Amino acid sequence: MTPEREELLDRCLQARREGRDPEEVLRSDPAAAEVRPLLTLASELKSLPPAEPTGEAMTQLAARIAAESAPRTSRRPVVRRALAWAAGILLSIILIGWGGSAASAGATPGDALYPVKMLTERVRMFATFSKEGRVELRIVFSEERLKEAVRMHANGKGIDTDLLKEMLDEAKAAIDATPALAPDSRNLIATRVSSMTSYQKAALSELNLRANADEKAKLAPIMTKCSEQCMAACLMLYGYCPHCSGMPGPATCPMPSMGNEKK
Amino acid sequence: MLNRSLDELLRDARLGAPEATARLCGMFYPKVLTYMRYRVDAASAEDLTGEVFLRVLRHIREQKGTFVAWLFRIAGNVVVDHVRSKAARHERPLDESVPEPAAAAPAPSRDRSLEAALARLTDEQREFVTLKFVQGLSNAEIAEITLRSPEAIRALQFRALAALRDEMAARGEGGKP
Repeated sequence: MTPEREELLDRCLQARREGRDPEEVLRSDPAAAEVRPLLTLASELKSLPPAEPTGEAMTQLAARIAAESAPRTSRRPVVRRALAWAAGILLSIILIGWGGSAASAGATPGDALYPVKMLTERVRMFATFSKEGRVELRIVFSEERLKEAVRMHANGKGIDTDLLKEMLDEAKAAIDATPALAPDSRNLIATRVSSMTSYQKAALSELNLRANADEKAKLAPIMTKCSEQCMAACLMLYGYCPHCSGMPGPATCPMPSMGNEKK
Repeated sequence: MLNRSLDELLRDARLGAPEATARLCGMFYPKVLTYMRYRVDAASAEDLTGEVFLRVLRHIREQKGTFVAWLFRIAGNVVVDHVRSKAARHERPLDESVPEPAAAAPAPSRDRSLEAALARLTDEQREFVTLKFVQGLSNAEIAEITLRSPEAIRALQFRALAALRDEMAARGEGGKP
Protein backbone atom coordinates (compact mmCIF):
# COMPACT_ATOMS: atom_id res chain seq x y z
CA MET A 1 0.00 0.00 0.00
CA THR A 2 1.53 3.32 -1.06
CA PRO A 3 0.42 6.96 -0.88
CA GLU A 4 0.17 6.91 -4.68
CA ARG A 5 -2.45 4.16 -4.61
CA GLU A 6 -4.33 5.87 -1.82
CA GLU A 7 -4.37 9.05 -3.86
CA LEU A 8 -5.40 7.22 -7.03
CA LEU A 9 -8.33 5.60 -5.23
CA ASP A 10 -9.35 8.96 -3.81
CA ARG A 11 -9.18 10.67 -7.21
CA CYS A 12 -11.35 7.92 -8.71
CA LEU A 13 -13.94 8.27 -5.92
CA GLN A 14 -13.88 12.04 -6.33
CA ALA A 15 -14.41 11.66 -10.09
CA ARG A 16 -17.42 9.43 -9.44
CA ARG A 17 -18.77 11.93 -6.90
CA GLU A 18 -18.57 14.62 -9.58
CA GLY A 19 -20.43 12.42 -12.05
CA ARG A 20 -17.37 11.51 -14.13
CA ASP A 21 -16.22 8.02 -15.09
CA PRO A 22 -13.39 6.86 -12.77
CA GLU A 23 -11.89 4.99 -15.75
CA GLU A 24 -10.74 8.41 -17.04
CA VAL A 25 -8.45 8.54 -14.01
CA LEU A 26 -7.57 4.84 -13.91
CA ARG A 27 -6.95 4.16 -17.60
CA SER A 28 -3.19 4.51 -17.84
CA ASP A 29 -2.26 3.79 -14.22
CA PRO A 30 -0.37 0.59 -13.39
CA ALA A 31 -2.28 0.28 -10.07
CA ALA A 32 -5.66 0.18 -11.87
CA ALA A 33 -6.13 -3.56 -11.35
CA GLU A 34 -5.80 -3.17 -7.58
CA VAL A 35 -8.05 -0.13 -7.31
CA ARG A 36 -10.96 -1.32 -9.50
CA PRO A 37 -12.33 -3.92 -7.02
CA LEU A 38 -12.22 -1.29 -4.27
CA LEU A 39 -14.30 1.05 -6.42
CA THR A 40 -16.82 -1.75 -6.98
CA LEU A 41 -17.06 -2.31 -3.21
CA ALA A 42 -17.51 1.42 -2.63
CA SER A 43 -20.48 1.39 -5.05
CA GLU A 44 -22.03 -1.60 -3.30
CA LEU A 45 -21.70 0.05 0.10
CA LYS A 46 -23.73 3.00 -1.18
CA SER A 47 -26.65 0.70 -1.90
CA LEU A 48 -26.82 -0.83 1.61
CA PRO A 49 -30.37 -0.40 2.97
CA PRO A 50 -31.08 2.54 5.30
CA ALA A 51 -32.52 1.88 8.75
CA GLU A 52 -36.26 2.52 9.27
CA PRO A 53 -37.27 4.51 12.36
CA THR A 54 -39.97 2.93 14.55
CA GLY A 55 -42.99 4.84 15.85
CA GLU A 56 -42.02 4.04 19.44
CA ALA A 57 -38.60 5.68 19.06
CA MET A 58 -40.18 8.73 17.40
CA THR A 59 -42.60 9.01 20.34
CA GLN A 60 -39.75 8.87 22.86
CA LEU A 61 -37.81 11.52 20.95
CA ALA A 62 -40.89 13.74 20.70
CA ALA A 63 -41.35 13.47 24.47
CA ARG A 64 -37.76 14.54 24.97
CA ILE A 65 -38.14 17.51 22.60
CA ALA A 66 -41.29 18.62 24.41
CA ALA A 67 -39.60 18.23 27.80
CA GLU A 68 -36.45 20.07 26.73
CA SER A 69 -38.51 22.86 25.16
CA ALA A 70 -40.60 23.48 28.26
CA PRO A 71 -39.71 26.85 29.86
CA ARG A 72 -37.37 26.61 32.84
CA THR A 73 -37.28 30.20 33.92
CA SER A 74 -38.81 29.63 37.33
CA ARG A 75 -37.96 27.16 40.03
CA ARG A 76 -41.47 27.32 41.45
CA PRO A 77 -43.43 24.30 40.18
CA VAL A 78 -46.74 26.22 39.93
CA VAL A 79 -45.18 29.00 37.85
CA ARG A 80 -43.28 26.46 35.76
CA ARG A 81 -46.47 24.49 35.05
CA ALA A 82 -48.30 27.68 34.07
CA LEU A 83 -45.49 28.67 31.71
CA ALA A 84 -45.40 25.19 30.21
CA TRP A 85 -49.18 25.38 29.70
CA ALA A 86 -48.90 28.76 27.96
CA ALA A 87 -46.03 27.52 25.82
CA GLY A 88 -48.06 24.45 24.92
CA ILE A 89 -51.01 26.51 23.73
CA LEU A 90 -48.71 28.75 21.68
CA LEU A 91 -46.92 25.74 20.28
CA SER A 92 -50.19 24.05 19.34
CA ILE A 93 -51.28 27.17 17.44
CA ILE A 94 -47.94 27.32 15.62
CA LEU A 95 -47.89 23.62 14.84
CA ILE A 96 -51.51 23.39 13.70
CA GLY A 97 -50.84 26.24 11.26
CA TRP A 98 -47.54 24.69 10.32
CA GLY A 99 -48.80 21.15 9.89
CA GLY A 100 -51.42 22.15 7.34
CA SER A 101 -49.03 23.89 5.00
CA ALA A 102 -45.90 21.83 5.49
CA ALA A 103 -44.44 19.86 2.62
CA SER A 104 -44.31 16.81 4.87
CA ALA A 105 -48.11 16.85 5.23
CA GLY A 106 -48.49 14.70 2.13
CA ALA A 107 -45.68 12.30 3.07
CA THR A 108 -46.41 8.57 3.35
CA PRO A 109 -44.29 5.78 4.93
CA GLY A 110 -41.04 5.38 3.03
CA ASP A 111 -40.85 9.07 2.04
CA ALA A 112 -37.83 11.05 3.24
CA LEU A 113 -40.11 13.54 5.00
CA TYR A 114 -42.26 10.96 6.80
CA PRO A 115 -40.10 10.94 9.97
CA VAL A 116 -40.48 14.74 10.09
CA LYS A 117 -44.25 14.31 9.94
CA MET A 118 -44.27 11.59 12.62
CA LEU A 119 -42.05 13.57 14.94
CA THR A 120 -44.08 16.74 14.48
CA GLU A 121 -47.32 14.91 15.27
CA ARG A 122 -45.87 13.44 18.42
CA VAL A 123 -44.43 16.74 19.59
CA ARG A 124 -47.88 18.27 19.07
CA MET A 125 -49.38 15.55 21.27
CA PHE A 126 -46.80 16.02 24.02
CA ALA A 127 -47.21 19.79 23.90
CA THR A 128 -51.01 19.64 24.18
CA PHE A 129 -52.15 19.64 27.76
CA SER A 130 -55.94 19.84 27.61
CA LYS A 131 -57.97 16.63 27.38
CA GLU A 132 -60.10 18.20 24.63
CA GLY A 133 -57.03 19.20 22.64
CA ARG A 134 -55.57 15.72 22.87
CA VAL A 135 -58.80 14.08 21.67
CA GLU A 136 -58.93 16.55 18.76
CA LEU A 137 -55.37 15.56 17.86
CA ARG A 138 -56.30 11.87 17.99
CA ILE A 139 -59.05 12.62 15.47
CA VAL A 140 -56.62 14.51 13.20
CA PHE A 141 -54.02 11.74 13.37
CA SER A 142 -56.57 8.98 12.77
CA GLU A 143 -57.84 10.82 9.68
CA GLU A 144 -54.27 11.35 8.52
CA ARG A 145 -53.43 7.61 8.73
CA LEU A 146 -56.49 6.83 6.61
CA LYS A 147 -55.44 9.42 3.99
CA GLU A 148 -51.95 7.92 3.90
CA ALA A 149 -53.28 4.37 3.46
CA VAL A 150 -55.60 5.49 0.64
CA ARG A 151 -52.77 7.44 -1.02
CA MET A 152 -50.42 4.45 -0.80
CA HIS A 153 -53.02 2.15 -2.33
CA ALA A 154 -53.66 4.64 -5.14
CA ASN A 155 -49.90 4.68 -5.81
CA GLY A 156 -49.84 0.90 -6.23
CA LYS A 157 -48.24 0.16 -2.84
CA GLY A 158 -51.03 -2.15 -1.68
CA ILE A 159 -52.90 -2.10 1.64
CA ASP A 160 -50.74 -0.94 4.54
CA THR A 161 -52.42 -2.71 7.46
CA ASP A 162 -50.09 -1.03 9.98
CA LEU A 163 -51.35 2.40 8.95
CA LEU A 164 -54.97 1.27 9.15
CA LYS A 165 -54.39 -0.28 12.57
CA GLU A 166 -52.91 3.02 13.72
CA MET A 167 -56.00 4.74 12.33
CA LEU A 168 -58.18 2.43 14.43
CA ASP A 169 -55.99 2.84 17.52
CA GLU A 170 -56.14 6.64 17.35
CA ALA A 171 -59.90 6.51 16.80
CA LYS A 172 -60.31 4.10 19.73
CA ALA A 173 -58.26 6.39 21.98
CA ALA A 174 -60.51 9.33 20.97
CA ILE A 175 -63.69 7.30 21.65
CA ASP A 176 -62.38 6.11 25.02
CA ALA A 177 -61.38 9.61 26.13
CA THR A 178 -64.53 11.47 25.07
CA PRO A 179 -66.90 10.49 27.93
CA ALA A 180 -64.48 11.95 30.47
CA LEU A 181 -64.44 15.42 28.85
CA ALA A 182 -66.09 18.48 30.38
CA PRO A 183 -69.84 18.59 29.61
CA ASP A 184 -69.63 21.79 27.53
CA SER A 185 -67.21 20.28 25.01
CA ARG A 186 -68.16 16.60 25.26
CA ASN A 187 -71.07 16.53 22.82
CA LEU A 188 -69.25 18.65 20.26
CA ILE A 189 -66.25 16.34 20.29
CA ALA A 190 -68.45 13.23 20.39
CA THR A 191 -70.09 14.51 17.17
CA ARG A 192 -66.66 14.85 15.54
CA VAL A 193 -65.63 11.38 16.72
CA SER A 194 -68.84 9.89 15.37
CA SER A 195 -68.47 11.67 12.00
CA MET A 196 -64.88 10.48 11.78
CA THR A 197 -65.71 6.82 12.41
CA SER A 198 -68.63 6.78 9.95
CA TYR A 199 -66.44 8.48 7.32
CA GLN A 200 -63.72 5.90 7.93
CA LYS A 201 -66.25 3.11 7.54
CA ALA A 202 -67.37 4.56 4.20
CA ALA A 203 -63.79 5.17 3.02
CA LEU A 204 -62.79 1.57 3.82
CA SER A 205 -65.80 0.31 1.84
CA GLU A 206 -64.62 2.44 -1.09
CA LEU A 207 -61.11 1.08 -0.74
CA ASN A 208 -62.49 -2.45 -0.62
CA LEU A 209 -64.24 -1.91 -3.96
CA ARG A 210 -60.89 -1.14 -5.60
CA ALA A 211 -58.98 -3.90 -3.75
CA ASN A 212 -57.91 -7.24 -5.18
CA ALA A 213 -58.64 -10.55 -3.42
CA ASP A 214 -55.50 -10.48 -1.22
CA GLU A 215 -56.11 -6.89 -0.26
CA LYS A 216 -59.76 -7.60 0.54
CA ALA A 217 -58.62 -10.34 2.92
CA LYS A 218 -56.35 -7.84 4.70
CA LEU A 219 -59.10 -5.25 4.84
CA ALA A 220 -61.80 -7.55 6.22
CA PRO A 221 -60.76 -7.53 9.92
CA ILE A 222 -60.03 -3.82 9.77
CA MET A 223 -63.48 -3.10 8.34
CA THR A 224 -65.09 -5.21 11.08
CA LYS A 225 -63.20 -3.35 13.80
CA CYS A 226 -64.02 -0.01 12.17
CA SER A 227 -67.74 -0.90 12.14
CA GLU A 228 -67.57 -1.75 15.84
CA GLN A 229 -65.92 1.57 16.59
CA CYS A 230 -68.44 3.43 14.45
CA MET A 231 -71.23 1.77 16.41
CA ALA A 232 -69.55 2.61 19.72
CA ALA A 233 -69.16 6.27 18.72
CA CYS A 234 -72.79 6.53 17.62
CA LEU A 235 -74.01 4.87 20.78
CA MET A 236 -71.98 7.34 22.81
CA LEU A 237 -73.56 10.27 20.99
CA TYR A 238 -77.12 9.17 20.25
CA GLY A 239 -77.69 6.12 22.37
CA TYR A 240 -78.32 4.10 19.21
CA CYS A 241 -76.55 3.61 15.89
CA PRO A 242 -78.23 5.33 12.90
CA HIS A 243 -75.79 3.71 10.49
CA CYS A 244 -76.38 0.18 11.64
CA SER A 245 -80.07 0.86 12.32
CA GLY A 246 -79.89 -1.28 15.37
CA MET A 247 -79.49 -1.17 19.08
CA PRO A 248 -76.23 -2.94 19.79
CA GLY A 249 -76.02 -4.89 22.98
CA PRO A 250 -73.24 -4.62 25.56
CA ALA A 251 -71.19 -7.32 23.81
CA THR A 252 -70.67 -5.15 20.72
CA CYS A 253 -70.63 -1.82 22.48
CA PRO A 254 -67.69 -1.37 24.80
CA MET A 255 -68.39 2.32 25.42
CA PRO A 256 -69.18 3.61 28.88
CA SER A 257 -72.36 5.65 29.17
CA MET A 258 -72.29 9.41 28.66
CA GLY A 259 -75.65 9.79 30.29
CA ASN A 260 -77.56 10.95 27.20
CA GLU A 261 -78.86 7.64 25.89
CA LYS A 262 -82.47 7.29 24.77
CA LYS A 263 -84.68 6.18 27.60
CA MET B 1 -41.78 26.69 6.57
CA LEU B 2 -40.28 23.39 5.50
CA ASN B 3 -38.33 25.21 2.83
CA ARG B 4 -36.40 27.08 5.49
CA SER B 5 -32.67 26.64 5.29
CA LEU B 6 -30.75 24.57 7.80
CA ASP B 7 -29.24 27.79 9.18
CA GLU B 8 -32.68 29.22 9.90
CA LEU B 9 -33.83 26.00 11.53
CA LEU B 10 -30.71 25.94 13.70
CA ARG B 11 -31.20 29.56 14.72
CA ASP B 12 -34.80 28.88 15.78
CA ALA B 13 -33.87 25.60 17.51
CA ARG B 14 -31.19 27.45 19.50
CA LEU B 15 -33.87 29.91 20.59
CA GLY B 16 -35.86 26.94 21.91
CA ALA B 17 -38.58 26.85 19.23
CA PRO B 18 -39.96 23.29 19.50
CA GLU B 19 -41.26 23.14 15.92
CA ALA B 20 -37.81 23.96 14.53
CA THR B 21 -36.26 21.42 16.89
CA ALA B 22 -38.74 18.73 15.83
CA ARG B 23 -38.10 19.48 12.17
CA LEU B 24 -34.33 19.41 12.66
CA CYS B 25 -34.45 16.09 14.54
CA GLY B 26 -36.88 14.59 12.01
CA MET B 27 -34.60 15.58 9.12
CA PHE B 28 -31.50 13.96 10.59
CA TYR B 29 -33.03 11.08 12.57
CA PRO B 30 -32.96 8.54 9.69
CA LYS B 31 -29.34 9.45 8.86
CA VAL B 32 -28.15 8.99 12.43
CA LEU B 33 -30.17 5.79 12.81
CA THR B 34 -28.59 4.37 9.64
CA TYR B 35 -25.15 5.38 10.94
CA MET B 36 -25.89 3.53 14.19
CA ARG B 37 -27.21 0.48 12.38
CA TYR B 38 -23.82 -0.07 10.77
CA ARG B 39 -21.78 0.84 13.83
CA VAL B 40 -23.43 -0.96 16.75
CA ASP B 41 -25.64 -4.00 17.31
CA ALA B 42 -29.16 -3.69 15.88
CA ALA B 43 -30.81 -3.83 19.32
CA SER B 44 -28.95 -0.72 20.51
CA ALA B 45 -29.20 1.39 17.34
CA GLU B 46 -32.45 3.21 18.15
CA ASP B 47 -31.65 3.80 21.81
CA LEU B 48 -28.31 5.30 20.89
CA THR B 49 -29.90 7.45 18.17
CA GLY B 50 -32.27 8.81 20.80
CA GLU B 51 -29.27 9.53 23.03
CA VAL B 52 -27.60 11.47 20.19
CA PHE B 53 -30.62 13.73 19.82
CA LEU B 54 -30.91 14.20 23.56
CA ARG B 55 -27.33 15.52 23.54
CA VAL B 56 -28.14 17.67 20.50
CA LEU B 57 -31.12 19.21 22.32
CA ARG B 58 -29.09 19.91 25.43
CA HIS B 59 -26.06 21.39 23.68
CA ILE B 60 -27.53 23.00 20.56
CA ARG B 61 -26.54 26.47 21.80
CA GLU B 62 -22.88 25.39 22.01
CA GLN B 63 -22.75 24.01 18.45
CA LYS B 64 -19.78 25.20 16.40
CA GLY B 65 -18.61 24.40 12.86
CA THR B 66 -20.95 22.68 10.44
CA PHE B 67 -24.03 21.08 11.98
CA VAL B 68 -23.56 17.75 10.17
CA ALA B 69 -19.98 17.38 11.43
CA TRP B 70 -21.05 18.33 14.95
CA LEU B 71 -23.97 15.88 14.85
CA PHE B 72 -21.85 12.94 13.70
CA ARG B 73 -19.13 13.81 16.20
CA ILE B 74 -21.77 13.47 18.92
CA ALA B 75 -22.92 10.20 17.33
CA GLY B 76 -19.32 8.93 17.36
CA ASN B 77 -18.97 9.88 21.03
CA VAL B 78 -22.20 8.10 21.88
CA VAL B 79 -20.87 4.93 20.18
CA VAL B 80 -17.60 5.18 22.12
CA ASP B 81 -19.49 5.61 25.42
CA HIS B 82 -21.73 2.66 24.54
CA VAL B 83 -18.80 0.38 23.73
CA ARG B 84 -16.98 1.41 26.92
CA SER B 85 -20.08 0.87 29.00
CA LYS B 86 -20.59 -2.61 27.51
CA ALA B 87 -16.95 -3.45 28.15
CA ALA B 88 -17.25 -2.20 31.73
CA ARG B 89 -20.24 -4.49 32.22
CA HIS B 90 -18.08 -7.32 30.80
CA GLU B 91 -20.67 -8.00 28.14
CA ARG B 92 -17.94 -8.24 25.56
CA PRO B 93 -14.27 -7.38 25.23
CA LEU B 94 -13.79 -3.88 23.75
CA ASP B 95 -12.27 -5.11 20.49
CA GLU B 96 -15.14 -7.50 19.84
CA SER B 97 -17.96 -5.00 20.16
CA VAL B 98 -19.08 -5.25 16.58
CA PRO B 99 -22.54 -4.96 15.06
CA GLU B 100 -24.72 -8.02 14.59
CA PRO B 101 -25.99 -7.54 11.06
CA ALA B 102 -28.09 -10.69 11.10
CA ALA B 103 -30.44 -9.05 13.62
CA ALA B 104 -31.14 -6.08 11.33
CA ALA B 105 -33.90 -5.89 8.72
CA PRO B 106 -33.73 -8.64 6.08
CA ALA B 107 -31.41 -7.72 3.22
CA PRO B 108 -30.42 -9.50 0.01
CA SER B 109 -27.66 -12.07 0.43
CA ARG B 110 -24.85 -9.96 -1.05
CA ASP B 111 -25.83 -7.06 1.23
CA ARG B 112 -25.80 -9.42 4.22
CA SER B 113 -22.30 -10.58 3.33
CA LEU B 114 -21.21 -6.99 2.98
CA GLU B 115 -22.71 -6.10 6.36
CA ALA B 116 -21.04 -9.11 7.97
CA ALA B 117 -17.71 -8.14 6.41
CA LEU B 118 -18.22 -4.55 7.55
CA ALA B 119 -18.73 -5.81 11.08
CA ARG B 120 -15.27 -7.38 11.02
CA LEU B 121 -13.46 -4.11 10.27
CA THR B 122 -11.78 -2.11 13.01
CA ASP B 123 -13.95 0.51 14.67
CA GLU B 124 -12.23 3.43 12.93
CA GLN B 125 -12.51 1.70 9.54
CA ARG B 126 -16.19 0.97 10.15
CA GLU B 127 -16.79 4.58 11.19
CA PHE B 128 -15.09 5.82 8.04
CA VAL B 129 -16.98 3.47 5.70
CA THR B 130 -20.29 4.38 7.32
CA LEU B 131 -19.66 8.11 7.04
CA LYS B 132 -18.21 8.07 3.55
CA PHE B 133 -20.13 5.42 1.65
CA VAL B 134 -23.35 4.86 3.59
CA GLN B 135 -23.90 8.54 4.54
CA GLY B 136 -22.22 9.97 1.44
CA LEU B 137 -20.14 12.56 3.30
CA SER B 138 -17.08 14.17 1.71
CA ASN B 139 -13.49 13.69 2.89
CA ALA B 140 -13.53 17.28 4.18
CA GLU B 141 -16.64 16.62 6.28
CA ILE B 142 -15.16 13.37 7.63
CA ALA B 143 -11.93 15.19 8.45
CA GLU B 144 -13.97 17.72 10.48
CA ILE B 145 -15.82 14.93 12.29
CA THR B 146 -12.85 12.70 13.05
CA LEU B 147 -10.26 15.49 13.41
CA ARG B 148 -7.91 13.74 10.94
CA SER B 149 -5.75 15.26 8.20
CA PRO B 150 -6.69 14.79 4.51
CA GLU B 151 -3.69 12.43 4.11
CA ALA B 152 -4.81 10.33 7.06
CA ILE B 153 -8.34 10.19 5.63
CA ARG B 154 -7.03 8.96 2.25
CA ALA B 155 -4.90 6.30 3.94
CA LEU B 156 -7.81 5.17 6.12
CA GLN B 157 -10.06 5.02 3.05
CA PHE B 158 -7.66 2.71 1.24
CA ARG B 159 -7.09 0.52 4.30
CA ALA B 160 -10.82 0.23 5.02
CA LEU B 161 -11.77 -0.78 1.48
CA ALA B 162 -8.81 -3.17 1.20
CA ALA B 163 -9.78 -4.80 4.51
CA LEU B 164 -13.36 -5.10 3.31
CA ARG B 165 -12.18 -6.68 0.05
CA ASP B 166 -10.13 -9.22 2.03
CA GLU B 167 -13.07 -10.01 4.32
CA MET B 168 -15.35 -10.52 1.33
CA ALA B 169 -12.75 -12.77 -0.32
CA ALA B 170 -12.48 -14.79 2.88
CA ARG B 171 -16.24 -15.32 2.70
CA GLY B 172 -15.99 -16.49 -0.88
CA GLU B 173 -17.59 -13.23 -2.07
CA GLY B 174 -14.66 -11.88 -4.01
CA GLY B 175 -16.45 -10.29 -6.91
CA LYS B 176 -19.95 -8.96 -7.41
CA PRO B 177 -22.16 -11.78 -8.74
